[in-house]
Amino acid sequence: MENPEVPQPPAAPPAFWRTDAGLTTIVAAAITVVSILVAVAAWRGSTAIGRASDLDGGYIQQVAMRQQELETIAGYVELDMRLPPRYQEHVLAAAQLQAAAEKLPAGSADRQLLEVRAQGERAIARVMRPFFISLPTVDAQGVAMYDREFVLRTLEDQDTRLADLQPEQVAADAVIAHNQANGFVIVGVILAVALVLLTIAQVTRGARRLPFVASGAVIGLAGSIGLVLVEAVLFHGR
Amino acid sequence: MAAELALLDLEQARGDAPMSRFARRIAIAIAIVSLLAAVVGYLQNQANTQSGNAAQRAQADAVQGADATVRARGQQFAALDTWVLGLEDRITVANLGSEIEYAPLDQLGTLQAARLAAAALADRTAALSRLDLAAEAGPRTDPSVIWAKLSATAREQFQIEAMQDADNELANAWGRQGAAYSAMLAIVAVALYLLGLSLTLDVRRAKALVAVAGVVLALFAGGWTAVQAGTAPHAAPIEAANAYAEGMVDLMAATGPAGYSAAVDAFTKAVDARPTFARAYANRGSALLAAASPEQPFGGQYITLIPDAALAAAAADFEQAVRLGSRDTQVLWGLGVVLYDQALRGKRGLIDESIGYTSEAMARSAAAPVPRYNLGDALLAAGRIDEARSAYEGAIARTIWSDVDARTPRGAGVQVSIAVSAFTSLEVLRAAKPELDATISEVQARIAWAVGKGTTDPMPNAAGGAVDGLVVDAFPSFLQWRGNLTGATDATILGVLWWYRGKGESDWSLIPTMSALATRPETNTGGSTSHFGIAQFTGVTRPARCLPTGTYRVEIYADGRKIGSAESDSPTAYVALAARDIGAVFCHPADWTVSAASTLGRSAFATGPGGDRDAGVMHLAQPSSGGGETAMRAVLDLLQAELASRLGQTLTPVASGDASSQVMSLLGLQRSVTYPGGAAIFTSALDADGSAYATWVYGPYEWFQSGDWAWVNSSFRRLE
Repeated sequence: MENPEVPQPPAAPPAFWRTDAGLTTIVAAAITVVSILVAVAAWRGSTAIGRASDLDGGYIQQVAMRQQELETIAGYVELDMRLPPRYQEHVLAAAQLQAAAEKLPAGSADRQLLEVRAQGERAIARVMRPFFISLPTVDAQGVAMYDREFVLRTLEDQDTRLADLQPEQVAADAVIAHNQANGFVIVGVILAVALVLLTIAQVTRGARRLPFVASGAVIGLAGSIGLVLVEAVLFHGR
Repeated sequence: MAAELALLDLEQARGDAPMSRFARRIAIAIAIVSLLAAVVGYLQNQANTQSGNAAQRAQADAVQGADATVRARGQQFAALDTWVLGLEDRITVANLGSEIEYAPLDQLGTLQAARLAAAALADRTAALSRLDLAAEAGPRTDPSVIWAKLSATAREQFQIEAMQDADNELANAWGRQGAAYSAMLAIVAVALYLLGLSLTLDVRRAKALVAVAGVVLALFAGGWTAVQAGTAPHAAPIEAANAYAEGMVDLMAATGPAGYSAAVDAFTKAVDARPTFARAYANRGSALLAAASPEQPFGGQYITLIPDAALAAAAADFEQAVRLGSRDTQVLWGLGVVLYDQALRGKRGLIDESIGYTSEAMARSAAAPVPRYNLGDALLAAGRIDEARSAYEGAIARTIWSDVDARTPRGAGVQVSIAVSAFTSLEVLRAAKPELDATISEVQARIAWAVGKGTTDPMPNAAGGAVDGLVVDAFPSFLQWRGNLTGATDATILGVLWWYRGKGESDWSLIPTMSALATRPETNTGGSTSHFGIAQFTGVTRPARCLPTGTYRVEIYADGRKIGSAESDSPTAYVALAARDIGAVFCHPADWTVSAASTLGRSAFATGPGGDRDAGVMHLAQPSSGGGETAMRAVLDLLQAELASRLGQTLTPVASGDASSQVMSLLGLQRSVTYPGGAAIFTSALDADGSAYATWVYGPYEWFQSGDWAWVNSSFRRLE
């Protein structure tokens, strides 16, 4: 009896990704994804460059505004500084007139006149006092002294606008933004390399395409991780 | 179609395979997307150019702003210099008048000529000043009013500041557009690549996938481009900057609700013209609070008395400023405080927001104590007691020292002013949350003791004393407490807090300018109580004011613990007549007018409506070698003779004669005289340089019987 011929089961079809057509589709999908990631990297890089540029400009403006604020404060002090010589003139004149009067005989008309004049000089000095932000101190000889540095420092300490202007911080933020932009450029280049490899894989056939697929996939994955790191982890300013 | 057929003919003629429909469609798509890329590239270039231009303008504005600052300063210098010079000239005229009284006969003619020349010079100099203050108090105008007037010189500076802000905003907006177009260009490039790649693939599914992805990306980029192009940023109209400058000048010059309301109106115009103007919102918020704040007789703002609607409007403005990107300390702080106050008025959900903003403000002003006190209050209100204590400790350290690490102390007056403000806030919290009463008292004790002693060391437990029989005397120009103080030693930190409640109001407000945390009471040797203390008011604020009508309360603290309180109503409203030219101030009834006969550099007086009463002060230059009591009597004689001349009547001194009296913080003499139908009180005292101060009040008997004269007579003060 002859053994009936047992029909061979049909060979299992290769896995989808093992077929040329399947791999082509997968690589096409990978190319699409990596292409989009390249676009994202370019966009984020562009945004970071824009932000860095804004911060660079902001730094210059903050420096200018800070200078303006310091100038305003210095202006008040300079205004104060314009009065002491005139103030001292009157205070000193009063002291000298009084001293001159005291050398004359008591009750003499000349002495009385000098005393009245001395009081008049003090009266003029008195009307000037409210116009000072910081009143000069007057020593025993009638010399007026104005501590410019102290007044300047006090006014600067009290100025909240000055405290809000922090150009150094803006400059530091600009450096971070520039570094982040560079990071995106590097990620973009890595993703572009992956894209080239995947494209070569796409236009070749057979076993030759596998190294390109593998290297393209690995580099693409590395680029993707790099994108996340640059975006969210590595460069954080204020 | 014709072109397609022609192409097909060309292919057939060459013997190539005919192009598939897919390839033709992809080729058309590539052409369209390439066109899109060109459009996006053009738009990107436009956006970047606009952004660069706006950024350049902003930088130029910054430079011009500095220039405007210098110009404004120059104008202020010139105006103030001229004003002060004019004032010096006017006092010189008065001085020459005094000299003429004492000059030898041979010098009289020269001095009189010099006086005429000085008077002419004074008028000329006054005319040169850009300050036109004739409508106010003329040469006697308080310097604070002059500074307010000078704020107008900064108008250009504010306008440029607003333009710079707008240009920055525009540069950022265009920059964002440029970035968006960059992204679109990248997407378009990817789409082009995918479309091109699809032509090379021979697997149908892969072809379709890549082509569809390319088309979708291209459509997305096209749509986004259309949206971006339709929402291009626009430059802010110049009206916004003009209105902002107007508002800033109004805000700086404002001395009352009308001025602040004008500022609110101007800022409203600014935000109407430029709805993204964060600074204008922030300043409108501040102006709204100031405009709605009740009368500010003590020089501060009573946020607790501001109506709910104004508080909500200010909060909305501050919030809008923050939403628009403002991170200015003042805005964050203001918002924190306003939200806190709203939370105390029932909107409890706002307390956490208040804590957040106040914390941010605090972080931005490392040395400032007040935001820390505010944070402590908000944390206390939220029931976070330990965190609140920590915030208060930080605040106390910064109250005592301007630089905590270097232990650089603040001025004593500044320390007290800050600590007293903290007391006010805590009292507001106590009123809103009575359950926190014990904790608040403990915190107040801690603040008072630490600031009084100037240390952050732990507070000892010992009680510092007791007071009984405490009474308050309210005068137009000062407040006085009297009481029997026991158990206090020289080491006791005695705090005296003065509170005010306006007529018809329910809330008390602390008066920082009159309160003190570390004080030594006077021993009352002649009175019914053992100690007393005086808190001067008139002359403390700028411009000088007299105490407003209402009820005044004193609280006495010993080593931070409250040991007594008392209150009293004040007399009717009085108005201050401040004469800085003679260094004097006094209070007179509101219906009196400043007499035109007052002489700059010599006298200042006010007259009642009927002209039958007046009061005034005089500063007389006179020889200092003239002798004390004799000179004072001579001045009293002079006053008596002048009044007799004015009244045309004989004045009769009372039988008891001249009596010793405190006159303008100097030991002097007082003389009482009568005349048919009325009486007068004269005082005189000699200043350290021998010049004399003299005061007078006179009027009909019924006025003296009313006691008003005593209020006026008690109010004469030195004004330095």
